[in-house]
This record gives sequence, structure tokens and C-alpha cells, in this order.
Amino acid sequence: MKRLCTFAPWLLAGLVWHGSLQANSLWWSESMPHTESSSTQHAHGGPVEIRRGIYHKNLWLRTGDSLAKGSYLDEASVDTSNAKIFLLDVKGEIKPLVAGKPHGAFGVNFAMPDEGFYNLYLISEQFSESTRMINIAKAEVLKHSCREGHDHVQALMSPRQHDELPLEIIRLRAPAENFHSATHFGDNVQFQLLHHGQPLAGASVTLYTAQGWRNTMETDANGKVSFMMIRDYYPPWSEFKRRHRQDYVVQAVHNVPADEHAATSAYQQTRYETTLNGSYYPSTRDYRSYGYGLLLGTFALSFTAVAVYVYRRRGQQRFKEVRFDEDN
Amino acid sequence: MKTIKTAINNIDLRRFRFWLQLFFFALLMYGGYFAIDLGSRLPTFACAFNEAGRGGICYLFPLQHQLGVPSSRLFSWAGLAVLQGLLIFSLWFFALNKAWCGYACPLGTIQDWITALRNRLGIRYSRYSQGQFRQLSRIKYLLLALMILIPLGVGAALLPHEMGTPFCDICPARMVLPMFTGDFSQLTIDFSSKTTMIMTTLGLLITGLFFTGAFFKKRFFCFFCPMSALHYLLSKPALLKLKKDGNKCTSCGDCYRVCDMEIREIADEVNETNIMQDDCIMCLKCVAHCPEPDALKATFAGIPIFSSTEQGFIKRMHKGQKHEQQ
Repeated sequence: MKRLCTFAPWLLAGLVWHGSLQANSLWWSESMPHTESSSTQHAHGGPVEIRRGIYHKNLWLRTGDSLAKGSYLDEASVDTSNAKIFLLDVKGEIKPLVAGKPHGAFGVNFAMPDEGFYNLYLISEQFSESTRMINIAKAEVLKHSCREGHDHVQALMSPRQHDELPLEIIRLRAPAENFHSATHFGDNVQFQLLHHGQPLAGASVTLYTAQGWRNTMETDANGKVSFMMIRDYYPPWSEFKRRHRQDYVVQAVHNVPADEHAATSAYQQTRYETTLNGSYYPSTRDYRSYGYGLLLGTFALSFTAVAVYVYRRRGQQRFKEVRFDEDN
Repeated sequence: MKTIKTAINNIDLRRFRFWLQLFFFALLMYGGYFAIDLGSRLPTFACAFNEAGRGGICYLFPLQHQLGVPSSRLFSWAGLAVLQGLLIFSLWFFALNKAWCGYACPLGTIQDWITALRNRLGIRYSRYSQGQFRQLSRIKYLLLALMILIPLGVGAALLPHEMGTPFCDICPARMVLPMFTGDFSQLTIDFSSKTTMIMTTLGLLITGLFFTGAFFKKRFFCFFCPMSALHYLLSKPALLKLKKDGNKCTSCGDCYRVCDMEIREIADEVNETNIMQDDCIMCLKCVAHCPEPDALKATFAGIPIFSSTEQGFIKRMHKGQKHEQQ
């Protein structure tokens, strides 16, 4: 639990807040550092490895000034002594995790034996001149297999929070969301920013997409903020993939002049930074057509109806009187 | 006991069936709104795509889904899940046998409603010749085989992933049933890949054909239904059975004439006791229209529950005449 690791170079460079993704912000990523491994399978909730029937999730820590160019860390660049990584599982239990090198990059691998959402946290603390910096990278991952049925889904949908965290972003659920739901272009995604478990009003929250788009909103009185996911996937039509997964990261920073929770009072302010990663997909409106669908359906209906009518008409033979020429 | 038995044998089957079909239709189409979930192994078309209101899920959807997993998984521990699914499906099926088609299937009920509409409009229905009937009856086995082989091909990476549920893609239930809960999203062509474009196009063409076919031909789609084929393969140990006593049959042909599925054997076969054929939907109209006492009967676990009687036949005939006069 107390195992710590340091990301000093990354955190020091992140001191200056530019209003864009900082050069060395940290976030979790489900995208593999190399080409997809044959051991990875797609499931509801993203890629997983299945070992003896148990789902295992890989997540890698990334850093950089954009999602697309964000680099994976390697063990050589990480001094493991000044932070902690832990998992808040479906049952609400906190389990410490030890970072490793799954598929060649710095990250974690953990088992997901139960259905539901798992929250992964990395918390690191760093001091620099007059600022104490707390960096929290959070990932929320889902384990679901249709084999487990769907009766239990609604009871497990609510997002969970860790009240002891100084700053946390939670993704609020859409009204009819279930384990099969996904975020698409054009959808509104709502987040809530919490400071020690309480909504934080008036804070700036920024959403970054992998293509470099970003949008900053201010939290309302309940700490809530909503973003519409932008459509930023424009491949040639022959290369279009409806299951194309795009990553996003939501980031919030909150500075306080003095922090009663700080272990030391030698600093003038505490700077909290938190990230939450997620993914979204092309909208069905991008590739589904009602016009052609209804046209084809109506054509089939009309054509067969006319065909039956014609067939029946031809079957009705008119009476023909056969006359014999009596002279012959 | 005898009074109850007489009352059941004299029942107005037409009305009884209408209300029972309506009950199952409401249960399977809108049960979800009342937190009813009968699971995903039902032996009838409770469409998975009717996400909002479904009270259960048709077994063909999870079956294709399970068979489409990578072959290495399917032939290891995941294979047990397929067997478990088949077992639950069989247990549901054994209770009602093919009466799931005649009384519970929402798509069958819609076809019966379309038939009632045609009847009211005074348009005559079509019948197949015996040659056509024999040819068409084979299609459902072909569809069942394809429905199993194509997902296996997907699992073996021989076919594209989009073909993972090939029968659902072309099944008219996917397009028609969600419309009853206000979901029209299945009436679309999916242009995201060539495979999905072809499959959704086929699905909508078949849906158009379904409406016309059901209008002119009673239970049009049931001739091609792979669920019906799967039912028949498992029907031997089922509890509900349709039986015939050939010694009491006078071969009047009433049972054949009222049969929506045009099963000739119901009239011609006098040696076999278990008369149910692969196309049978167990609507029991043949029993209701048989004038010979105990010539045809439905039994549950060997106990007769509905038998043909002269009294019941005459009573139903009178009601039928009154209905026609109205």
C-alpha cells in the first residue's frame, strides 16, 4: 500500500499551467504500446486478456503534450519511490497494485473477477519551491461478459468515488446507460469534479481528444460539467471503421493557497491535477441511412404485392367459347 | 372433473388463442418496462434488438454470439457456456413444445393479425402446391445450418466479424418488433462496411417481403424459420404433444383445410400416433375442427388436455357461423 514511485521529471515540467494539456501530464491509456497482441480480446469495456476465464486489464501510463503523441513510459525513466497505485474494485475495496511492464511499457495489469466498474488511481506527490503538487491519474474500466447475464447491471451502474482523494473527476451516467452503452460523436458526456468527496464549483475542466481538439468548461454549483463529443474522425470511406475507438482525456486543476491536509506548511500553495481517460466511437448517424432503408423496404413490399396481384390475374382464365364450323 | 374436461373441449379456441397470444405479445414486447426478464434463452422471437421493452431474448441471438467467439475459446471453456445455453433453451422448450410458435411468438402473432386484416378486407389467401410446400420446407434447415456455420467461420477468422449474427441481420423480427416500442433505428442501411451494407439490405428486402407474404399467405415466414427447425430437432422429449388416433379418423380433411401451415399429414397419416410435423406451430386448430371424438388430442406429460369432440366441433361451428354473419 505504501509503495511509492516518483515521476519527478514529468511533474516538475508540469509546473506551469498553460490552459492546454501540459507537456508532461500523466494519464492512463488502454491503447497498447505496440501492435495489438494476439492475447488481447475485445469485450464490453474495451480490450482485455482472458486467462482461465478471468478477465485481466492492462493500462499504461502515458505522458506528453497531446494524446496522439503521448509517449509511453519505460521503467528506466521511472523512479519508483514516491507515489502509490491502487484499485477501487466493484465491492468498494481498495487494493494496492504494483506497477510492471506489460507488453514492454510501464503500466499495470490486474484481474477483474467481478462484473462492474473498477477505478484505477495513481497518486503522486511532489514538492517544488513554494508549491506542493498532487497529481492524480484515474481510469474507470468496465468488466462485462454477456454470459454473466444482465439482471445485475442496473445495480452496478452508479459511478463510485474515493472520498479521500483531494481531487477526482467522475463520469456521470446517461439516463438509459447500461454495460453495452458507448459514447458516440455528438453525445453529451457529463462529469462531476469532487474535492475531498464534495462537488467543486467554478473550477475549469478541459477535455482533450486524440486529434488535438480541446474544450474548457467551468463546473456549475454541483461541480458538474458537460461536453459534447466532437466528430473528428474523417478517414477515406473505404477505411472507415464503425468501431474505431478514439481516446479522450478530461483534466482538471485546482490550486489552493494553503492545504490543511498537507504534511508540511512550508509551501504557499497546493496544486492538484487530476485526469480521467475515456473513449468514444463514431455515431450511427455517420453510417446508417433511413432513406435508403425505407426505400428498399417499400420497394420489396410493393414489388411483391404487384407480383402476387399479376400472378392472380393471370390465373383467372376468361371463358372462351369454342365454336365448331358446322359446315366442315 | 368431467365438467371441466367438457368445458375445455368445448372452448372457443379462436378467442382463447387470441387472448393468450396478446398476453405473450405484451409480456415479451413490453415486459422490460415492468422489470420482467425471462432471460436470453427463450425458444421464441423475443427480439434482442427491442432493447427498451423486451421481456426476454430469443435464443438464436446469444447462440450465434457464442458460436462466433474465437475457435480456440469455443473449443475450450467457452464451449461449456454454449452447452449451458442449449440446456436452458431446451428446458423452456420442453414445457410448451412448438406451441411457443402458435401461442407465444410475437412475429407469429403479428402474422396472424395481418391475416385477420386480409380476412376483413375479403381478399382470398394463397396456398402452396404440395411440390412447392416440400421445397420451401427445406429452407429453414438451410438457414439453421448457415446460422451455425457462419458464426463458426467468424470465430475461425474465415469470415468478417460483421457476420457474427447472420440470421438476426436478415430476420424481419429485428426490423418489425422494435417498432412496437417506438424504435425505428433498425429500418436503416448500414454503410460502414460492404458486409453490413449487404446484410442490412437483405434484411430490409426480406422485411418488405414479410409484410406482403404474411398478407397473402397464412404464417408466411414460419415456413422459413430456423427456430422452427431447431424446435423440431428437439421436440421428441417435449411434454406437450399432438396425438392422433388413426382408427377414429374418417379422413374428412377438416384438419388439413384449417391448418395455417398446410400440413397434409395431419389428415393423411393414420398409423403414427405422434402426428406433429416440423412445420407444425401447435396452434391446435386441427383439434378444434375435428368432429371425431378423441381422434386428435393435445396431451401434456401423457395426460390429455384438449381433445376433439363432436359437441365441441358443433359448438365452434355455430360460433363460426355467427361470426361470419356479423
